[in-house]
Order: sequence, then structure tokens, then C-alpha cells
Amino acid sequence: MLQNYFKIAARNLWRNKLHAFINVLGLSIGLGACLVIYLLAEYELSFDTFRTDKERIYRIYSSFDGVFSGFNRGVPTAMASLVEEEQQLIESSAAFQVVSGSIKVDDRDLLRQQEGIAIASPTYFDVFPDYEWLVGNPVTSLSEPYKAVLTEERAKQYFDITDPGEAIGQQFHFRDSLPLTVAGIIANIPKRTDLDFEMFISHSTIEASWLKNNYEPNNWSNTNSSHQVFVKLQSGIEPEQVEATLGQDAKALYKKDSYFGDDVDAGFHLQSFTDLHYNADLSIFDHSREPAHMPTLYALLSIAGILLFIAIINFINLETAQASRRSLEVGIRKAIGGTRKELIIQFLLETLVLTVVAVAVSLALAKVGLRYFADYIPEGVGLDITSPLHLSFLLGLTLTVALLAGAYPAFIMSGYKPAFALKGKAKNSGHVNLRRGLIIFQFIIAQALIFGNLAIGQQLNYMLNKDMGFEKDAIVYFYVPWQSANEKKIILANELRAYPEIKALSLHEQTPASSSYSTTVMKYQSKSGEEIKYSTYRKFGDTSFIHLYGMDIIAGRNMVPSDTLYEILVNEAYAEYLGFDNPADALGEQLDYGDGKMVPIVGVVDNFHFSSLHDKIEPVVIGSDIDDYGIIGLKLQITGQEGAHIQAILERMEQSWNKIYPGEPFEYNFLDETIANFYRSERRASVLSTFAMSIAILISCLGLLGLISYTTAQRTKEIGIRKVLGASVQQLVALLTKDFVILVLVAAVVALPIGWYMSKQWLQDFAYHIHLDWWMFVLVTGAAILIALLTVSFRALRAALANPADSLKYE
Amino acid sequence: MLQLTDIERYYRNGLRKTWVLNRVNLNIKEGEFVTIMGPSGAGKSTLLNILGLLEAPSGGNYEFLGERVDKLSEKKRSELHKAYMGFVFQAYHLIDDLTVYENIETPLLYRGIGKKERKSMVAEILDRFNIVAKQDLFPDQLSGGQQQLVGVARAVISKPRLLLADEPTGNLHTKQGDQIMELFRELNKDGVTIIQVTHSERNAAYGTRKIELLDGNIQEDQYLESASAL
Repeated sequence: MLQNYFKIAARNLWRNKLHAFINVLGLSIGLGACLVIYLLAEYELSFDTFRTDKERIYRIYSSFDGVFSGFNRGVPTAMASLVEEEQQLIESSAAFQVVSGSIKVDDRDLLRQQEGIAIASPTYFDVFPDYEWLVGNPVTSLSEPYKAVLTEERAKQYFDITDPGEAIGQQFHFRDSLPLTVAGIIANIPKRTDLDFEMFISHSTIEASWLKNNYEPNNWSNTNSSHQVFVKLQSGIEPEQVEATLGQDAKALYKKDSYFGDDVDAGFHLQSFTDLHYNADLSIFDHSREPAHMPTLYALLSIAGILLFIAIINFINLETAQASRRSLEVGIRKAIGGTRKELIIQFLLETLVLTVVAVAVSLALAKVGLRYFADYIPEGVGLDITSPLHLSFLLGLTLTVALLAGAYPAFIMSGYKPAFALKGKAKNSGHVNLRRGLIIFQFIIAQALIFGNLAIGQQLNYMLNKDMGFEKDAIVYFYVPWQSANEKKIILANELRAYPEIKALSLHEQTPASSSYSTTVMKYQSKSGEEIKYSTYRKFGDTSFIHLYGMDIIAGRNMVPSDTLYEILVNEAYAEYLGFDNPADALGEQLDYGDGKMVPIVGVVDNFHFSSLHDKIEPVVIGSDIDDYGIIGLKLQITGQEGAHIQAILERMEQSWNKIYPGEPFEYNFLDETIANFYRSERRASVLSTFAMSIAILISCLGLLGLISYTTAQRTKEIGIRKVLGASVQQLVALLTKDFVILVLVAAVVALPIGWYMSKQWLQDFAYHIHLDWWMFVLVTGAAILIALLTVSFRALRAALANPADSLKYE
Repeated sequence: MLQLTDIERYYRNGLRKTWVLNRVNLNIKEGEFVTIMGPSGAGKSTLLNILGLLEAPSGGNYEFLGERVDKLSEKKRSELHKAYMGFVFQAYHLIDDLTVYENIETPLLYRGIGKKERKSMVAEILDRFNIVAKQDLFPDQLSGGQQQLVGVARAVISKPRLLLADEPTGNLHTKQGDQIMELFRELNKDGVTIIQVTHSERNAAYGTRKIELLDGNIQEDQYLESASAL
């Protein structure tokens, strides 16, 4: 019996190749999209799920409120010893430094900027015991100073060996001058972990070496995001208990022992280890991968659901459109003894066969999709046919989709009354309304997505082209090494100034618009005696800063050259905030720069965007302090120049750099690209919505195609009669397509408000955004109508052109 | 074998009822070969559908083998189809996607008959109907007469006690039609009760009883002298 069903299914597919093709295609596109998104979600959600006792592990992080404020994923170095004392609450703790730097093995080339290095004590492996030790163990390998443990892969890479054991006892240098000896080898770390350290340096090395100058152990003043403390709580202990005891102790100690103790209120909190991969505020570690963005993930999952849903709807739609063709078979089978149950099973099996084919096609589509979206998808995402999880997902997906897509058509078709079915007159009128409903639903989703896509595209375009209030073209900037001596910066700047191709150059703290920022609380004593305190944004720089970026002084003058804070420029927004409607009135006023140092306002610059367009323009101050300048920005003379020419300038700049900062990488940025990168997540959203929109449109078109095929087939006779009576081809095409335009318009009534509302919500994230104009509504529905008409017109035309003699011959 | 009492069938058209069958009373005994005749629209096919449980009557009483069957569930009806009935249609109604062999085999599949037995039953009937050579062809590769032979073969493979045929020769040439009728007569001799609908007096002559239907009423019910008149 089963065999017979499969045979029928296969032959039926073959006989109706076009129908089957449309059906399988629609389903596989939906499935493919769903699969890609599943793989992505599964990837992000599977990080560190294998860790033993992961729900008892927490990271301690800091918060500050005062002269500086915000969160820091690290803690003061003194936290390490404090947690060790709390044994009633804490089973084990791991304090470690996340570092990066060059590696030098004797006679081999210097390996620059090696990441994934932790300076840790053996207790790290008490908190995270899931490491496989190939040689050595935590205690023997990491207790003494100047010892290192490598993964098998790193050991092979550094020492060019085949057996990782050979690395034991080998020596190498970290950051030029720290000699280390390999004392242990661990197995390669799994792909899906955020603890992706491939090298451990014994923690005792810090005290024993010059590292102690950098990492200042046992110090409450030094809070660096690289200094991490993870704790594993005793069973039954809640994180709140730890925050209440240890957190309060630490807070008190910070107040007492920290250099900032009087000015800053510190807090110490526990972050669940299972939250590590998803917390965008704290991020994972220094230089680590970006945390997964849960809202994006949820958005993706709902898109996957919607796409799959409309693909299933499409399938149902196309199947029921074909139902009358199958009704005769239903009649025959019932007459010769087939029960309804048997027919339902038969139709469900046919759907299953189609679904299996569609899943197979979707695997290929997913593969293409993953490659196409490679820029947006982490490297480890991919289908692994051997993974039981992936296999069971595929199996579950296949069965669920087959059941959802097949149940309704099977139920309807198996219910045909045999006497009618045998006459080929299965009743169908009810399904026409259902099918119209389904098409309307598809077009609601499609039009809402088109609208959203249009809004995102418009906003992106607006953001990339909006006048920022400063120049961004042909400007290159780069960071000098952290805490570089001022003399070196000046030597490099002077050398570059001599380049004829460099039109202007400035040393400054930050580019006019940047994604990171610093603020200072400034005070102003107004005429009425009121103290106006405001946390202003700092954009310090030398005197060429405003010239380089083409900012306009609307009142007063530029600062005079100075290496320390002497005079100050404010933007118009700050002048207004201080109560000067006329910017010129602010000139000569004195500002208190925090520590009581009074600085005069000598000029007011026109407002400019200090950050992405997400943020409103806020009060900004521009002062001078050479210690703070970490950026050299310069404007290139590049009008009409070739890319190769610019490349040559950059190479020469690198040579100048290498003379002053040998061994440090020269990494330059173009300002316009940096600004474009502010909107990376919006661009991602745009790509995503385009993708979802295209698929929704594609599937909806397939649905339309199915419906028009059905209606033209149903109305063949009517068309023949009308033609005989004198209807023109245009009139007939209009007759057949009019309904579809109405369907799209009905869908628009629902879709446009949804699209409008969601776009409006999205735009609220931007202080400066486009307005949703009436033309967008017209464009969206116009596009949808056009797409619908293009899809149905071919079929309609063919029906209208048919010879009426053929269509009237039957009956 | 079967007994119709006051069988009615009407269609509702708005508030109006249109009668197709009007208080039909009919008794058919096992072994009869009944021909139902009448002009188009007389209700022949409807009557046959009701007899074959493909359609339910709007009113009246239908007893089949001593049991009331006019209000059976679909499942029970299907069981009766399987156990007692075979159908032959004017348009043959073979399943396009199945070969001759598979078409004939399908009723056996629904009856849950084992593979080996199925094979021998199909082989036997193919042989008897002289269509062994066609067994792997699809319906659209056969002539009308051949298709109807397959249709009859499929109807009788499960050894039904009642064979219902709706204009079995309507789409065939006279010669092909005669062949089918000969087959029916043989089956009837073997004990199968046959009820056929036809327009053809020539076909009616093969039967043992002729019922004339007009506007949903039995106009004439006549037993024929000899089934071998031709």
C-alpha cells in the first residue's frame, strides 16, 4: 500500500512538473531561509552550553558613578584576593588578565598581535574544568612564574612540530621581553566558547616580572576591562547574597583604598556566565567577538517563522487550487473501496514526498545563503549533517511542514462526495475565498516588508548623505600607540606635515564624530548667580582641528596654540544651554573645568554631529591638552587622483611611522568609512529586510501564479463564450486581473498601517530621521500591484488569446 | 438482494426543490441482470449512485442484504463497497498515474490482500480478459475498449456480488460494446448480480430485466424472456 502511495506521488509530481516545481520552489525558499536562521540562532545559543556547573558561574563587574561613570566588565585588581576569602559563598574563583601581544620564538619571524591569551592561575581550571590536558595539569604547569600552557594548535604553529609534547620546555618571548617556557599542552578549544583562550601564562609571572607595572596587582584604583574575575558559587547560594556581602565589602574597600574613592561611588555586580554571550552593554572580553544581539536574533527568528508560514500557506493554496484535478481520482478510489482515512494518508504522504524534496533543495539554498551572507554570519555557522541536533531539526522540520501543509488539502480532498467527484464537479467555491484570503495575507506581509525596507533604505541614505557639520571626505586618521610619548607624536606629525600631498593635519583626541566619546562635567556661574553644571562632550585638539574638519567659527576666534588647557571653544548648543541666544555673548565667559580651573570661552563653533545620527546634538567643548591627543588626522590632496596614488602616500606614511614606532602596526582609517560604519547594524537590518522582503515577494508571486492558473482554468469556458460574444483581449485580461489588483489593495489597507507603525518605531532610535511621506505609501502599493500584475498577466494573456473553439469544444 | 422503498432524491435550489427521484420502489434479487433505461435527466445515474452507495437518498428506505444502508457512515459504506460491490463507469475512470496492472491491483490493496495473492489474482484476471500484454501500459496508451476492459477487470477482481455499471459502453464502438456485454453475461452466469444504466436497447437485451425510468418514476418494469435473445 505504502509503495503504491509513493508511486502515485512520484508519478503525480512528474506529470504535473510545473505545479510541482512551483510548489517545491516556494516551500524550499521558505525552508532555506528558515534553515539559515535556525543555524545562526542555534550557533549563537549554543555557546558554552557544555560547561560544567555553568549556572553557578558568574563574572564580577563594576559600575561607577561620579567624576567618571558607567560600567566596566573588569574589576579592580584587588578583587582577586577578596573573593578568595569568601569561601562560604564561593566555591572557586578565577582572576585573569585578557591580553594580546607579539610572540617571538628564537629564530623565527615575529608573530604580531596574538590574541586569545590569558594570564591565569591554576584556579581558573577549578571554575572551568572542561579542559582536556594533553601534557601537564593546572597545578604543575601554571604555578610557577614564567610558565605558559598552549593549545595543541598553537604549539604546532609556534614551534613547527607534529607531536605537541615536543613543545614542553621550549622557550619564547611575549611582547619582546617576557621569557616564557611551555609547561603544559591542552587540547584545542571547541569552536563555540567565549573562553577562546589558546594560551595561558601563569599568574605568578605578573608579580615576578615587569608585568606588575602594567597590571598593578592588589590595587583598588586600577580597574581595567582586561582584569576579569569569575566565581563559581557554592550550591544553593544566590548571586544577590554575594552582591550584598562581597559587593558591599568591595565597595567599602574601594572608597577607602582607591585613589578615586572620594569622587566615585563604585558598585560590584554579578553577571551570570550564561549571559556572557548576549550582553551587549558589558561585551565579552577585550578583543573578543561581538556578543550576540538578542533583539536581532529574535527578529530573525520571527522572520524565519513568517517566511515559513507564508511558504506553507502558499503550498496549501497551490494544492487546493489543484484539488479539482484530483477529485476524479478521489471518486474512483472511494468507489473501489478506499476509505477517507486511506485517502488522507495518501495525500499526506504525497505532501511528505514534496516536502522531502523541498528540504533537500533548501539545504542547497541554505548553503548558498550562508555564503551570500558571509559578511553577516559568524564563521562557525553551518549545517553539519552528522550532528544529531541538526538532523533532528531537519527531521522535525520536514514532518511539521508536511503535516501543516498537507493536512488541510488532504482533509478537503478526501472529503469529496464520490458521486460528484466522479463527474469532476467537486465543489470548490469555498476554497476560492480561502485562497483569496491566503493571498491577501501574503501580500499584507509582503507590503509591510516593502514599506519597512523602503523606510530603512531611505533612513540609511539620509544618514550617509546628511551634512554632519564638518568635512569627512579625503580625511585619513590613525591612532598613535596608547600612552605614546608626546615628543614622538609631534615628530611624526611634523614629518607628515612636510608631505606635499597632505593639505592639513591635526593632532586631537577624537574625530569630530566618533562612536566612543568622553565627557567632562563643566560648571558655569551665570550672571544671576546660578551654577549651571553639565556633562559636556570633549573634542580636544590642536589649533588645526577645526580647520582640518572645516568647522565654522560663528563667533570669536580659534584658540591660541597651547599644550595644556588654556582657552576653550564651545559649540552653539552649549552656548545656548548656558543661556546665550546670541553666540557672541558667550565670548569671554569663564568655565570651571571640574577641578576649579577657570578657562575662558574664546570662540563658538557651529553645531556639528559629534556622534551617529542616533544622538541629538549636545553641548561640546574643544580645548587643548596634548596629553590627550591620540589621533593624527590629515586631509589628503586627492582630487582627480588614482587609488594607487593614495596607496603610495599611505605606504610612505607607514615608513615614517615605522621610524618612530617600530614594531607597532600602522592602521589607518578613512573618516567617511568610519562614519558609514556607525550604521553597520542599520545596514545589516537593511540587508536583512531586503532579504526577507524578496523572499516574501517571491513566495507571494508563486502563490499568485498558482491562483491565476487555477482561475483561468476554471473560467476557460466563460472566456470562450465572452470572446465569441465579442470581448477584446484587453477586456478579457482586465477581467482576469482585476480581482488581483483588488486583493493587493485590500492587503494594503492592513499592510500599510503595520509597515508605517513598525517603521516609525524603528526610526525613533534616531534623533535625526526621515519622515514617512505619503509617496512612500503610494510607492509600496504601486510596486505590489505592479509585481502582482506582472506575475498574472502572462497567464491571463494566454487564456485571453486562446481559441474559443477549443475551450467550448468540451462538455 | 436489495430493496428500495419510497426512495427520494431532490436538490434544493433556493426555496424550491427539484426532484430527481420520486418515491422509487424496487426489489432486485441476487443473480439478476438489470438494465435501467430512460431519457436524459430521468434519474438513471442518480438511482445507480444510490444503489452503489455513492450518493445518499434524500428520503426513503434502502435495504441491502437485509440491512438498512441509506444512512450509513462513510466508513461503513466503504466496507460494503469493499465487500460486495464493483463499479464500471462510462468514462472508464482509470487512475491516470497507474499502469493497467496497478489499476487492477488497487482494490486489492484497499482490501488488505497480501502481495503474493494479489499477484496471482491480477495475473489470473489479466489472462481471463486477454490483456496480459497491456499490463505495463498507462491508461492513455490504450484504446477506449481496452480501457473499459481494464475498468471491468478492476471492478470484478475482488469478486463482488453486485456489479454496477453506468453506461459502460457509452464511449465505445458497437463491436467493443458487445465484447463488454458478453463479459457481463458471463459474469452474470457465474452468479454476479449486475445493474447497468444504458441508452442502448441492444445492451438491454443482454439482461434479464429492464426498468424504464421517466422523470424520477419507474414507468415500466419488465422481465425479459431469455437472456440469450441475440
